[in-house]
Amino acid sequence: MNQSNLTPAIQPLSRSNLLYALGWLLVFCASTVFCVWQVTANKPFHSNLLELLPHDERNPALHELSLLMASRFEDKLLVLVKSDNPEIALPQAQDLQARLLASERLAAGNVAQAIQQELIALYRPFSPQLLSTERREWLQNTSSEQIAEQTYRNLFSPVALPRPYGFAEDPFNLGGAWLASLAPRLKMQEYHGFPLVIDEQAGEQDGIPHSWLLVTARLKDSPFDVATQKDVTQAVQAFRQHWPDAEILTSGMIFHAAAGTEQATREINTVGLGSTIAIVLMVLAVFRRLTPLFAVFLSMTAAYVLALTVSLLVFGRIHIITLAFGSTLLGVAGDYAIHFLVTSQATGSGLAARRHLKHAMAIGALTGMGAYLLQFTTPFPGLQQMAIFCAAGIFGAWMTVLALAPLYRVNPAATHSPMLAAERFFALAQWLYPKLWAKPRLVGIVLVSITVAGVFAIARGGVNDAVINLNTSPMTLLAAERRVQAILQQPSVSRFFYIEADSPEQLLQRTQGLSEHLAALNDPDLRWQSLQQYVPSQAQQQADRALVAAKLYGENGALKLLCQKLGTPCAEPAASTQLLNPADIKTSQLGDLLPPMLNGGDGWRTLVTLSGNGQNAQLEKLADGLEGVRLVNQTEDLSQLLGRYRSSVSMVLLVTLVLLAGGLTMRYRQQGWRMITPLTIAMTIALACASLDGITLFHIMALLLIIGIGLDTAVFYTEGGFNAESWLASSLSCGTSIIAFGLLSLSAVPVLHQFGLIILVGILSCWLLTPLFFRVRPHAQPGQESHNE
Amino acid sequence: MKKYLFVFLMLGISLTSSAATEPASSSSAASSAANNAALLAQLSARSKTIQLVQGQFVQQKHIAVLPVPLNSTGRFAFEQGKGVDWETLTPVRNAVHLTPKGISFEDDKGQTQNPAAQQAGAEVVAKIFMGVITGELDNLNQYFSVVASGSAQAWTLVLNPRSANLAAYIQNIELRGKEFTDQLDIAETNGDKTHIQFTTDKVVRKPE
Repeated sequence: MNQSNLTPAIQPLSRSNLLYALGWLLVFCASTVFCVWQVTANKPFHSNLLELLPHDERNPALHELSLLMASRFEDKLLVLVKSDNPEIALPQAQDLQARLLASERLAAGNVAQAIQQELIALYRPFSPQLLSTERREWLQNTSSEQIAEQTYRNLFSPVALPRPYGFAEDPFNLGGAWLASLAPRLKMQEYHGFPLVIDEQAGEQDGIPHSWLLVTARLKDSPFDVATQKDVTQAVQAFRQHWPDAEILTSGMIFHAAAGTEQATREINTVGLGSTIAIVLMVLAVFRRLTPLFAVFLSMTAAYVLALTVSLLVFGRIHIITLAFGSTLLGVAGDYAIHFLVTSQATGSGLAARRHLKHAMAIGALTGMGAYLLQFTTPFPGLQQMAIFCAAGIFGAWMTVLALAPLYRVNPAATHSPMLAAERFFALAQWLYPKLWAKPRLVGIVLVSITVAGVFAIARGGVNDAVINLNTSPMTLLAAERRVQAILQQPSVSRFFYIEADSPEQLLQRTQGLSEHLAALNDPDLRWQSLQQYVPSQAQQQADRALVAAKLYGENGALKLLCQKLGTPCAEPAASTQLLNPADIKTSQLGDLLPPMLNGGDGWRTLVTLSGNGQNAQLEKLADGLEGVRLVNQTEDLSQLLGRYRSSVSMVLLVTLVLLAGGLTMRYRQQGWRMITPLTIAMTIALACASLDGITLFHIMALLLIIGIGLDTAVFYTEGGFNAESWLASSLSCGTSIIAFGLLSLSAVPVLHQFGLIILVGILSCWLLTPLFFRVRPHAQPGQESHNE
Repeated sequence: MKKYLFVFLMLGISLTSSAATEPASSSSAASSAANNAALLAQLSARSKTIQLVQGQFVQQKHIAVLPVPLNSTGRFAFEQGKGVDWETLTPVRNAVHLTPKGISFEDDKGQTQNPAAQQAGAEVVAKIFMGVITGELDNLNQYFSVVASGSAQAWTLVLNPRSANLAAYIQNIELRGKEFTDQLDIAETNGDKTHIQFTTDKVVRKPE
């Protein structure tokens, strides 16, 4: 056993090995610098789910409009301060606003300040051709005499509509009526400069509906900017401490992004810390030296840095889910290093270990990379990112071991310890497995039964493509968000009508048609906002202008009668020859507030946004009857997309397994089944354990990782034999993954929980099942004795 | 007295959901002389002792382009807890009833008429209107910064809108009075000006 160590394997590095090592160092340093530079300068991480959608499949204009809508949710934050007693709530709202605006990364929402002035200025030239529905009907159904009479009376009334334009420009105050028609049905007042919102839907307290003061701020940076998240979180936390009795509701992407960051950081830290402790303890227990520990961490770091570099080079921006999945790569990356270290101890030198493991590592790495690169062929940007990330990472780990292996020196004095550990640990396997090997039929029956039961459980569990699986926000935050959206009747960013047309005019007319149909539904709970509410179609403006001219300003118009009553001659206001265009709105600040309009190469598109709870089926039916109108339900789309992702990845998984079976059979002939069978059973067991809430995309993705780690184990057993060293190495690499993912499976984040559970159960099964299919074969190293038999 | 802020001064909020920001001082009175605050407190306290006021008004409305002002007269009544009745008698008849719960209109045929009555937020109008008539500064303070000058025996209040959205309609409001409000001047942003002169006929004070 110790013979090999008596002949020290220390020899000068060959020129080519030195070049390999230097090349590796160069790439590692360059990648590290590149990553640090990218991460600090470009902030390449984001969590916009829409960017994971396949671009070719979706309508690009719709994609852009959706992103525009989403960005409106992203660049501001809203906080409602409960204000059943405004005198108590006002100092709270003032304090909260001051705390938020103290951050240089937040600005006051300055648009609302001047919105009335801007609206008044925008519509000034057009008031005689902009009629609200109610005002149009009034003009149509009222005689000129009555119009004159009522206008005259209103001049004396203390509570008539405000006149934005004055008598000379707009004697009948059409502008005032127009502006009033744009007002929301929302019950909002103003309290010391803060909007005071009355929540009439929610339960009443002593007969008085709850009211809230609204505090807002605008983000200068992305909500995924960590510094901004920190400022906002700290401001809200400090506020809560200062006003323990205050009740507040938050809304805005920043809060979810901050919670997501916090959650992800905590979970990744847990996994990172868990696996780190596990690796440190296991590696130290076995090797009793720091160098192997350093080697393991170095290969993991190198793998991660290379994965990040390649992904950034290919994609520019990386979704945080990619990053989270990528962290799981560390488990695979550690494998090669651990197998290498254990083999080095057995063979006496790093160089010999590299020679010994060359094939096993190449097969493990290439199959792993192959499995991920197959994923790259799916049309989903999200999967492509993960494929590139993981394949690059595996390559990095593999290359690190290959390049640095010759540098690894086995300390002859310390070798007995790992070998001793291996022997002792192998005793456990030698106690357990021969008993099972002795009863192949019984073991076979048990395994078949488990597999059948597993398949049954999977079939029963069905699939689960709910979007909530992607959620990283705590339930309380989601509940607050929903309440704020309901109280403020915010337009939904995930459900809206999408309208297409050949010209802006046709677009506005189609939008108007849709509005009329929506109004005909007579659903008080359904509200919508459309461009045409703010810019009527040209045809409508011309018709209204004609109506106004005939009824009010004509020879027998109401103006003449009104002026007779006032006893003063007065002139008709000059009629505008211009028509209000969507472009006029687009260039004003209002453009950012109204539903967006886009001019793509072959046509015009806009959205009609919805708030309230309209029935999906009803709205869909309504859209079906209208040309160029379509209801977009992004939650549903996303769910369907998750379903398609799930099928795609399942296909990739099947193809991978089939290719693997073929490839392994070609190389190992009759031994191939020994490798693929335990893997398949382990995957079935894992999936069965996860099937309780239905199989999700993330379960299937985790299975891909099982192939990577499970196959490594089988390959190392096949190539090197099932013996003390390979058993120890497999146990070490499986053990670290099991501990790390065991922790992950406790996560409150659905994605991470699902991922962790599969890997925990899958790797545990792989680790324990694979030896069943092998026999003890001593290390095929000259000068070594057989362990047994 | 004429038109007031309406719901649509809130339009901006529903569109942007961002608040008009205002310096944190609850009243500009706090920043001016101490007797300003004292006077306001005095006036406010006195207004609360009144149970009922009845009287007459003469209103002169200057519309920017019209050479002659529009004159009207009528009567008003305020009762604590019930609200304000504002009745124009000449040259047209119409009445407005403002209560803490809402607003209703009547023309000479006794019918509710103004479509604006159906608009949400009419209570804001009512609140400001009542605040001006009754000198209930607490309500006015929500919408305007109030500067007081003079003494409790002869005072002037100048109200400036707190938010830009309100300022789009109202430039300022000026109230003058002795024991009760005598004059009210409203300058609108569109250039119209309204001057109202009050005569008080009957006052009932709350029992001590």
